Amino acid sequence: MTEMFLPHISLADVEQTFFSKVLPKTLQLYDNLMYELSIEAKGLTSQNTELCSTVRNLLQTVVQLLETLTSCVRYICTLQECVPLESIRTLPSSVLYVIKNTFTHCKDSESVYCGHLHLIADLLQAMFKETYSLQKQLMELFDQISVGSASAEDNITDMVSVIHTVLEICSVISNMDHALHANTWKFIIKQSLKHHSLLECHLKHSDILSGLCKDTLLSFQSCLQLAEEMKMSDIQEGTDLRLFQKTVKLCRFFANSLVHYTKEFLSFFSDLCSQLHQLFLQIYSKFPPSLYAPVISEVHRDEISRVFLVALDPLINQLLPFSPFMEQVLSDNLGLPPEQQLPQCLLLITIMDKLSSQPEEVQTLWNTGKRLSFFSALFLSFQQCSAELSLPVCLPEVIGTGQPAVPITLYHYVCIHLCSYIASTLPSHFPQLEYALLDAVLGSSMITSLLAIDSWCFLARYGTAELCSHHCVVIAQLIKSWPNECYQVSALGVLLRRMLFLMAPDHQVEFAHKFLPEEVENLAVWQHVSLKALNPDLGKRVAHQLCVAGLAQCRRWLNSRRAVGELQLVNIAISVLLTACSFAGDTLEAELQASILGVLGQFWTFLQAKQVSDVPCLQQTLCLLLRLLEFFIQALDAQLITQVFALQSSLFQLDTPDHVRLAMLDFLSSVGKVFIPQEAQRQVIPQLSFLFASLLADQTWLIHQHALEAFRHFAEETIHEDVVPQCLNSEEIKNKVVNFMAKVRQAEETTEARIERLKQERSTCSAHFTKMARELESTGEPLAKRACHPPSEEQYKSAIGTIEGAVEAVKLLLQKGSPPAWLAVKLEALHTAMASLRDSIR
Amino acid sequence: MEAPTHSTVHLSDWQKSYFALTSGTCTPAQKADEYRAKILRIQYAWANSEISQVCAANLFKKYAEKYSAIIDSDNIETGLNNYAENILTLAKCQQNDSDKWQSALTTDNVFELKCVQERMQAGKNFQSAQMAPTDAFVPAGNGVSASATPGLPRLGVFSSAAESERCAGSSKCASRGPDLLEHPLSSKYLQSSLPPVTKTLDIPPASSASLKEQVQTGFQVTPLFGNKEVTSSSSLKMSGGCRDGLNLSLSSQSAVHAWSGKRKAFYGLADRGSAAPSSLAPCQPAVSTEDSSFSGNRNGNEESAAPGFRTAKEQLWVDQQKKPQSLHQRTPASSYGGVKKSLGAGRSRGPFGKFVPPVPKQDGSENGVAQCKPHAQGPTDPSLPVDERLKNIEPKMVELIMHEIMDHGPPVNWDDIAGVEFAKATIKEIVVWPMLRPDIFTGLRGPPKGILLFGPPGTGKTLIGKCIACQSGATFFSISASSLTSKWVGEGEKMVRALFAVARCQQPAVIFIDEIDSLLSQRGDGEHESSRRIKTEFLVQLDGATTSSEDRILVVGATNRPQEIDEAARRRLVKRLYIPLPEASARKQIVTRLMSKEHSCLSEEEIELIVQKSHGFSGADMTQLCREASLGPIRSLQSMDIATILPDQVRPIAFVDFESALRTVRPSVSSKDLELYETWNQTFGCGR
Repeated sequence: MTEMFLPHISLADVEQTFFSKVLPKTLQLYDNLMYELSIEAKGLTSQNTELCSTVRNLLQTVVQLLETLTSCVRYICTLQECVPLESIRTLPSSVLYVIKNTFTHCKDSESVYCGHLHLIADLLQAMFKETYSLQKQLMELFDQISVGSASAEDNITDMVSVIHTVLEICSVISNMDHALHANTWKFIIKQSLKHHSLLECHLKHSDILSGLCKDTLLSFQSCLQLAEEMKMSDIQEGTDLRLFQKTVKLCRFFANSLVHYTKEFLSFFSDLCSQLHQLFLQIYSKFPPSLYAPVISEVHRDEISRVFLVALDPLINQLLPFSPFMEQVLSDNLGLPPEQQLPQCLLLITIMDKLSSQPEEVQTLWNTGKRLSFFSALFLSFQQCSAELSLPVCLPEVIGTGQPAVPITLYHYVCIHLCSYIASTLPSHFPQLEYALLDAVLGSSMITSLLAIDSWCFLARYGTAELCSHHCVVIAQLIKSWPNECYQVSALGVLLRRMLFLMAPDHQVEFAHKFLPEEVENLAVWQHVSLKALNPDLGKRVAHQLCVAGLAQCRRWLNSRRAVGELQLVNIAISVLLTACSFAGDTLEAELQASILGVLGQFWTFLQAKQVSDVPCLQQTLCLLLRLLEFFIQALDAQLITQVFALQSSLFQLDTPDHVRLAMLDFLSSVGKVFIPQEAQRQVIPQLSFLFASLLADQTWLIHQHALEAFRHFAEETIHEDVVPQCLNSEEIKNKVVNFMAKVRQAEETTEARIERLKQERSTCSAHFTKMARELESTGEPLAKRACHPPSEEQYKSAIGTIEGAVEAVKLLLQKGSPPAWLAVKLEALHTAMASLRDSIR
Repeated sequence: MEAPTHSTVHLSDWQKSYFALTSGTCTPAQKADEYRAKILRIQYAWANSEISQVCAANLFKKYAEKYSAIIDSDNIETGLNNYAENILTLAKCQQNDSDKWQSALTTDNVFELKCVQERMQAGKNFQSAQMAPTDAFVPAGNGVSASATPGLPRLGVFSSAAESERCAGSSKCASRGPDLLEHPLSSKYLQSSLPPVTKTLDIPPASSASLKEQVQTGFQVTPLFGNKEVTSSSSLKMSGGCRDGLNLSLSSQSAVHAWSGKRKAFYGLADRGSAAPSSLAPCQPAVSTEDSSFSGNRNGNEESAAPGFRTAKEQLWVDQQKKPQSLHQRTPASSYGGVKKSLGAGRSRGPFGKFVPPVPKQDGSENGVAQCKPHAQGPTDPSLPVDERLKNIEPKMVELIMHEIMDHGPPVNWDDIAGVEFAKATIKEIVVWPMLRPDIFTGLRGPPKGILLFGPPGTGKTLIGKCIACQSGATFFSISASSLTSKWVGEGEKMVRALFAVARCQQPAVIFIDEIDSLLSQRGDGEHESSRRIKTEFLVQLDGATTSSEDRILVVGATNRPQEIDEAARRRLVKRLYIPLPEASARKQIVTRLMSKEHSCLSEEEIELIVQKSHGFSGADMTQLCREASLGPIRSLQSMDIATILPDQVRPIAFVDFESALRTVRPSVSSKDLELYETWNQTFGCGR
């Protein structure tokens, strides 16, 4: 019929006279065939030859039907002219219907024919081939089809439904044949773009996009799988490699399609950015250097990144000006799983690299985000990468002009990229930068503070001298009014100390003028800086003034009632003396030296072990005094030495906090320099060896390590060699010390074990950060105010998050060792509490 | 095997960092990474509640300061210059508006920021938690006590005082004018740019005495660099001055104050133009003290690095200026990276070159032995990256030298060598002490490049060589001349070169060459071409154009044919020490020492007698004698079966055994030979 009638019907009439009549019947026939096929197939066995031939006949008929349809479509194609959609409107939908169902049948054949596939494999194969060519033919036809610009709504609806059906076909054939799959996608993209203006409002962008993303990810995963297998079986060439290369190319194709599609329809993606964001995160979380990536060889890794990842890159360029994407990426409650923390950080860096070459409004978009500024987001994300930083993960980077890329650690990588972005920061965005830096410096993550400090120092050098000086003043002001002795101060202190070195000399003079060292309230600032940053004359002057002021403060306290509340100021005064001494050392006037020593002596006369162990503030005093003693170690008389050691060893019998133990170690390591006077030896030497022995046996590994370092230092210097063996009273300690001296390390771990451990540690770290953040929140708002509001869902979420975190922590603890006896009881109590909570919400 | 617990793994990790940092072969970038690793571990320990917050903060401060000394230093070899080079590579063609940056922070509004307010509040809570139990408590001390002053009110007073100060501060800040920028370029600067360099001597580095000494040694190099920098800075200045006007004008403020300002500008210009010998004298000692990490003064490095500051913007600017210039001039130093590399390879400043333990170690003490071990072993660790200076040497040879020639034998004490007191004293004076305190032994006191130990065979020359290495904490290379002479032409001299190259990387080093006469015999007409070349190479390496006065390599040659040594070699082996046959007291010492380890029953008189009878014996002969004598008791066991005897049935070694041994063991050195040594010693020797 096709061959006989079709040529005689003009294109204009073909729909009316032929397709609309014939095609419904064809579909009817097809459905019947397929239905019968599915019924008969169930009983198919190799014995039942009759049934077998029935099935074969059915399949044969389907193949014939397909052939007929193909020739039909081919004929239209041969007309060699522009085919209006109206004239063939029933054809595409019917053909697609057939194609889709046939492919589905092929795909399901394994289950439909229950293991008797071999009986009809040849026919199925023919069927597949025929469908393939039918689809190909139809695609060719669509290349010629025109959708009139002024055409009716119907046309658009038809076209849209065609595209959507093809999309469905796509998901059917996704892992049957690479080329077919790719061609089908190509068709979708091509047709969507071709009729862009007509269709844009009607297409289901979310379906298309998620399909595309899903397929990209799938083929990427199969790439990785292949690469992993090759790595394991150590195959360098052969079919696996070819398949791998083909799959990588498929990935590239998808990436390119994504780029094309996004380019045209970006404005419809407002709600879809999370998909694209997820795509990036998932890809990079599976790809080296992620800790969660499979192990693949360098060559394959390079190939994937050279062929595929490069193609994804332009996508980011396109998304940059798109504010929903920005909001998605910079959102502050992403709640990413651990494996996506590093990808997020790397994504931010990629964006950052591109931003500086973007027009100003794009930069503004990113820097004045609704919730987080770009810099804050980067710091936040960096903070989450503790495991990757500890490993450390390395990334290739060109670090000098004209040199090849070398692997550098993640920190280094982030640092130089951040700084290079800082270098190009527009003046209008500078406040955001400042704020983010300050915020990060004050944060609870040390490594993030360090990053912020490093970048701030770079900024200070890159910017004007006035800016640097201004920042110094601001930081100093902060330190001045910050409560002493909390960890933020130490970060601010480090920052100020470094910045002072970067200041212009006359600004330093101004600084010293602004924060007059002789005034008591300024001492808090000076305790953190190094006077060596100043020019020698100024340094000398300041050191002198600091000494005088510090001494006065100490004397005032010593001669007063010695209230604990005022110890804070005394501690600052002693710190300042330390600053002065570490600058001036022996060049300090003899008079001052003598006074300091005198004051030191006075302090020691009243310090008592019991008090010190009870009063945190006094502990701080003790630590500072010990450090100050180091400077005068040569000048100590027998009485003072005796006192110092007596206090330390009696303190040790009480419970000593770790920071005091560390301060003791610092002191002990300098004791090697002195000759202990004859009259003190009898008393001091046993105490000295007792201290060393106890500290070397310390349970906390950090203290133990510092004890080893201190002991080594001491042993190398001391002339009291007989003390050395006395300190090593147990065989275990002795071994540890000997190993340390010989640079032998215990407990080497494999890379895999290390990665596993770091993954575990990550949860501890993030629990810690959330805990710190929560403490901040709880202090930020007075309690009374909060009671007025009904609790929000967020609050519930965070409370439950806490519980989960704590449970996780207990689990980890249990893995490490046996629990205390009361744990079971406590858990029981918690269990009851939980049960009553659950009952209350029912 | 039981899986290691987490804390042991952490400990081991930390120690890895520690060893890497103290090895002295770390690049600054590696050091920075190691310090970061430490900080990460501290952070984890805090997060895991292993340490308290105060402890974590203190540790953070301690290591962050060490870390920043590396990051902020612009010394190419020890610092990272804020990663400026890396960053500017990345930032090449981007806009630069840094001069328009306006800080939005003021001393007032900074307290209104959310992050500040929250955290300050948290800090206050923390502090009051710390203080809370003490509110009612007053240290009784010497009975001086009264009512308590509560902590919090006190704090309030304090912060309100700070508040008023803050206001004052901000007003001052506002009135500060930017007039500095308008300062004209002072021509004074050019004239006065030399004095600052020489001034480095006058400025007392405010740390320990040893640091001061170091500055002086380092200063020998300074004037040379200084001059170079000045000339090149003046040439660059014409074109580059305006941009750097800020710093220059600062420097012309006043003669005294401008010191560091000048240094700053000085670096800013000269550094780049003249291929940047950026480590001026004061930087060097600080580095070495940091390297060895023995320094009590933790800040040494950071402090001395500071004057060399230049802003990265200047650097970018100079970079850009340089590009067109290099087009015209085609100077070989057009690429910054390339220049830096050649500087890094400068032999005089190896990471170990300035190794200075601050306090001398005691001779023969237990510590001394323990110390020299890590020193000798550290550098040989095969996992360490190969030094840049070894780049041109065949890796095979380097490996050969590392494994075959470097000696890892048991440590030796001076007490292990009997007699030769004069030689020992001389060696301590001219070798060991300078190795321990290179800061004191400078100039004329500087150590010799080579010494020659000569004397009859078996008198302990090798032992002395080993002892030198051990006691000075140096790496000990022990080679025999034959291992250097290869049948392959050219191989031998390469070997010599490799040996010295490796030794340079492992400074301080002692190269001990046994039977040196066969290597350095008189150069004559009849000898083979290749051995001649080896000889020449050796002499050149020992003291020639390529060697630097700062190298701390000592060649110790030992020979019993001193008269055959080439005169050029003789000159280079400055100290020639005669190691004579052991005297009576020394022989006695040998016998007592050897017998103390054996089961013997010798009286004092009998030993005295043995010593008398063994006149003319060398140390080796004495050992042989004792060995022979110790077999006596066994020989007397004829009646019993040697297979069944119990160890305690063997009788102690007696005098009779020595008597019979003396009959078979004869001195190996003839009196004629001895005469020869004596005469040679009188002509060329340095001893009595």
